[in-house]
Amino acid sequence: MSYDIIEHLRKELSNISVDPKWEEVGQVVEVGDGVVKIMGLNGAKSQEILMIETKKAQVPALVLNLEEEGIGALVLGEDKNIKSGDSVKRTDQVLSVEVGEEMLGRVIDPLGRPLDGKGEIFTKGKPVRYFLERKAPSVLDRESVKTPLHTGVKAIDALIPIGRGQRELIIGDRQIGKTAIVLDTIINQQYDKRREAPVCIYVAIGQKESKIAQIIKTLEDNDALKYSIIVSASASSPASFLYLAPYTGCAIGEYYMDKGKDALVIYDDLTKHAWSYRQISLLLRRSPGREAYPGDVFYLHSRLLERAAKLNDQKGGGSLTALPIIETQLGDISAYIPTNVISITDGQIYLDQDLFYQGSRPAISVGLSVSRVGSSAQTRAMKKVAGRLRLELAQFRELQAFTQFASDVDETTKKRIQRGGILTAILQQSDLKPISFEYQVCLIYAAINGYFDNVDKADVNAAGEKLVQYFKNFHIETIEQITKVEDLTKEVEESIKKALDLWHL
Amino acid sequence: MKISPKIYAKVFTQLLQEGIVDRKDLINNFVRVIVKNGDLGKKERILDQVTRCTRELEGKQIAKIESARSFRGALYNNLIKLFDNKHYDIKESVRDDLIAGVRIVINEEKQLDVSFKKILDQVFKNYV
Repeated sequence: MSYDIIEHLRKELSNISVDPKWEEVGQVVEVGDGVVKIMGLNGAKSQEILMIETKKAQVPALVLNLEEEGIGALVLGEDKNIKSGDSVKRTDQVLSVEVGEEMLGRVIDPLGRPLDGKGEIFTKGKPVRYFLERKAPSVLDRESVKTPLHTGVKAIDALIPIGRGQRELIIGDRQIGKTAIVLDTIINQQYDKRREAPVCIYVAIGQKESKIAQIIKTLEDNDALKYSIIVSASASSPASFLYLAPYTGCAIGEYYMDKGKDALVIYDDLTKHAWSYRQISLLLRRSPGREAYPGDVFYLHSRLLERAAKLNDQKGGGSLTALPIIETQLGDISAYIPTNVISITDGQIYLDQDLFYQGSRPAISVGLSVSRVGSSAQTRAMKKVAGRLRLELAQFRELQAFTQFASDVDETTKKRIQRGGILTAILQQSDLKPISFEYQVCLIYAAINGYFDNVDKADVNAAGEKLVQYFKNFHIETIEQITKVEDLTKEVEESIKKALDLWHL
Repeated sequence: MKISPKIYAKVFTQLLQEGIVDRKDLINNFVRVIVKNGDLGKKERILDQVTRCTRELEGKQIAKIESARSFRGALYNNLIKLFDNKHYDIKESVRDDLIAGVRIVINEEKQLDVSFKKILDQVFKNYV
């Protein structure tokens, strides 16, 4: 081992060419809280990487403010060794991250360095450098979202479908199941038999280390880590890392998108991202605006989420789906950051605290959730069953409100209310149990056609699980048929009906 | 209104150049104005800007020669020859963290680094 290192160093040293040239330098005049003020370096560009030469090591910094008197830069590392008077050099480089196929299954920090103790990332292939800040694909390079991204969550796949290349916001209070939905989505990708599983990038922004470790373990246990990449900027990381993490995740996603593959990037969560940006901006003495956020906080998220796209065939046909998460305070979706991100995304999945305390899992509020482009990506089979489901649920909600005032209702209304209750119950699902869309179609078909009518509301979910098992064990050909045609053709419907009749008996 | 250190320095050097006010009085008044404006906290930056401006005025530059250890002899003489006294104020310092070689810094704005530290930084750049 030591011989290898010596040989390696010998080779490196003999290859080094000393080419002295004049370099532009500046000086640190102020340092604190991860931010430095630099005098000099008149030629420095915005977003350029600078190198601060401390006594111990070189520390990189990112130029954010170009002022009349100097430069405001964000320290990308330990700032405790930096002191006033340290010299600063330009690098003529903008921030980028090394990306490649070997990243799959790894946990990295926002600068692309491994955090999982599995050693160097790129041992075989040569990585490519991707800029953290990149222009979003143009209108001409894009095409409309048409391929589904099945989450495995019945309520989402049926009522708020997501397409590959879409930006769907997941919004709700703390501890309400936002991360559970995205974990189900990642796990479910391996069950989509007709399409290649997208590369899933989970960006943890300001999360507890214990939670991140739990997420990694969950993905590992469910065999989903092999097609996932975790970008971790935990709560103990400096604000600069929290600020950069989503851009790193996006750059990795773009690498796969440019290769014609599908990628899914999850930003968990953008509220903390906005907080970190607010901290940095205030330290850089930028003018505070509403809720003390700087004026460009909208642009901070819009330029990130705009990079999610479905590329056309000339550009390789790849896609980058974004699932940003926003944490609300006491369900207030009209706060500054939630409204910003709602307006940027193509829809939102709203998790309601009241529903959560009523025991509804997932606690998705169907009334406040919407998917603006996903329906065109929904499979025809799901579209056919979900159309009726949506209608019946809407009628149920209306009748439910009405019966709160009038206790005497006719038989038809009673039946409708009962059916609505069953349909609501069938959409219930516990964590980490995603169901592939074929089984979802069968379940919803059974529910809207009265196969659960005689089941007690409390037992509907268990009965649903039994039905899935029944199809798995005895009617796998029906499931395969749905996978193949992705439509509720006459033959498929007959096949489902036949299987359900036998189950019912 | 906020006055930047650059503006302070510019006005000071202009007055210095015009020579209307006595040099001593000018310095006293300059300090008084800074105190009155509550800009004493910026004194280091103002001083830095004044030094730069006066240097520009005199057409002189500061050449800082940093070496790993004190050196004299032919090598030193050859190096000094590059910076004539008319245009350069030479400052020398020893910085053992350079390990070997020298680093020349002009006006704290540009540098020529031929130290061993730089080579080592280059080698270990890929390992950190």
